[in-house]
This record gives sequence, C-alpha cells and structure tokens, in this order.
Amino acid sequence: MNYEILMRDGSFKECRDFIKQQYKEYIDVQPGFKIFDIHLIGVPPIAIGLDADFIIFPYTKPCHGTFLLRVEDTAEAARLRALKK
Amino acid sequence: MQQVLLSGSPRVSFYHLHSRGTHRGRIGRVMHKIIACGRNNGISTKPQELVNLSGEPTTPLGSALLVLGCPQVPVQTSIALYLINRLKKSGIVPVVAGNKSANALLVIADPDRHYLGEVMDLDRAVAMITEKKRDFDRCFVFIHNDAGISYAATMGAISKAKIFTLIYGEHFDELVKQVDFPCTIIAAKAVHNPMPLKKAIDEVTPWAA
Repeated sequence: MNYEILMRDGSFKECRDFIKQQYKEYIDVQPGFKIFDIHLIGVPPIAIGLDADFIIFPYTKPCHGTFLLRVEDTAEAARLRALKK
Repeated sequence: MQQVLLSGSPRVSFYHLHSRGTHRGRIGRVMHKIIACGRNNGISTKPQELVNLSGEPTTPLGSALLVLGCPQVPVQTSIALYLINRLKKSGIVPVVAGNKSANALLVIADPDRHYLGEVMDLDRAVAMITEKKRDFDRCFVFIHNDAGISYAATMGAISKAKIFTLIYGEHFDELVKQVDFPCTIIAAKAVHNPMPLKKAIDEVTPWAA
C-alpha cells in the first residue's frame, strides 16, 4: 500500500483537529473501525478525511504515537462516502 | 581446557578457556558458561493451571487482558509480571497483548511460563475483540504516552471488559488529565522503580471480585 505521512509522532487530538480543519469532507467513526484491513485505534470519535480519491486517517503504534496517513484508493473512498448517507 | 561439572546439576558446566596468542594468565582467560536448556530451548508450552495461595488447582473465575504499551519505560515488564501473578492467585486467567518487543521482554524473562499464560500480538487482540470473536472480563492498559491513551479508549469502545488504566512515567499527571472515558485510573510517577505503581495497584485491588 502506497501512503504519504502527513504528520508523525502526533497525538490523536492533533490528528483529529488537522483532519477537521484541512478537509471539508470527513466522517467520524468509532475505534475498531476497519479500513484497509486494519482496525483504527484512537479516542472516539475518530475522524477520517476524504479528498477526491484520497483517504486521510490516523494510524497508531504503541512506540511511535499516531501517524496521519494519506492513501489513494477509489473503492475505499467510495465505500466510506456511502457510509455517510 | 578445564571443565568443571557442578555436583547435582549435570546440565550446567563451566568451561575455562585460555586465550590464544600473547595474552595469558588471569586477564587473558575467558570463561564461558554453557547451560543446556533442553528441548524447545527450555520454553514450556504446557497449558497454565491456576492455583490458589495454598497451591491447589482452582477454577477460573474470569479473564483479564493486559494491553502492553511501548516497553521504553522499565516498570512495565515488572508490573505486568506482578499483576499476572496476583490475577492468577485470584483465579483470573491473564492474557497478554503487546507488540513484538513488549511480548519478548516477558517471554524471555519467564521461559518456563511460571507466570505467563497466553501471549498474543496487540493488533490481533484488537481485531478479535472488534470482530466479537473474543472478549474479557477485565482489561488493564499500560499507559505512558499518548498512544497508550488511544489504546485504552479503543478498548473501552470495543470491549465489554471493565477497563483499568495503569498510568506511569515521568509525565503521568498530564496523561491522567487526558482520560475522559469510563475506567478505573491507577496512576503513579514510576519510571525505573515499580514500587509506587505497585502500591497504587495494591490499593485498588483490581483482582478482587
């Protein structure tokens, strides 16, 4: 999976604020929500940004904090948009 | 080469090797201690039996998941083993979930599995609980950074377990302020010395019914 790291070693709050400030289109999901075969970790609600075919979401690892990733995937973006309706 | 076999312990032997070349005598000697660990490198794979304080087998009264954080802060491994011991003595089956390093610190420290029972990958544990394939009665989340708060909040959202957050480290008080989800907070300024956190745990007695 090709991804771009928009933010590294951030906090979950910084990632959530970044998504809500920078992206007009976003959805709030609960922890454990599955995206790209991984379960999201975070304090609810977890914001996922949508920008055309790009998906922006937080990815947390125990030793490295939270990364904000940007991944292009047409099908997954369409699936997430469908959840908004 | 001189081989010394210790009486009563034929599997342990010491080899005194004289170094080659010009370095001789006491300074030049290298001592190798070789311990035969037996099959499977000494790691026991037998299922754990719960015993009460008198050493008799007991029926499990519940289950507990220990969610390990980054093992960067030394007290985590010590407190995890202590908590596992107290849980087992109370008839609760402990399961450990952590990343590769955190799990390895425990497994290597307890090769015969006197304390440890089941150990699993943290991502796998999250997936199993989210997909309702497994759940626990209690969940202890080790927290010393922002990621720990995220994991604790996640466990609170996906699991029906009673959540205990073990918050420690140099900046434990700042982390305590970030906890805004239902849980029992056990916090102490503990980095190298586990005693303050051990005392805090003992006051809460999370292994009690």
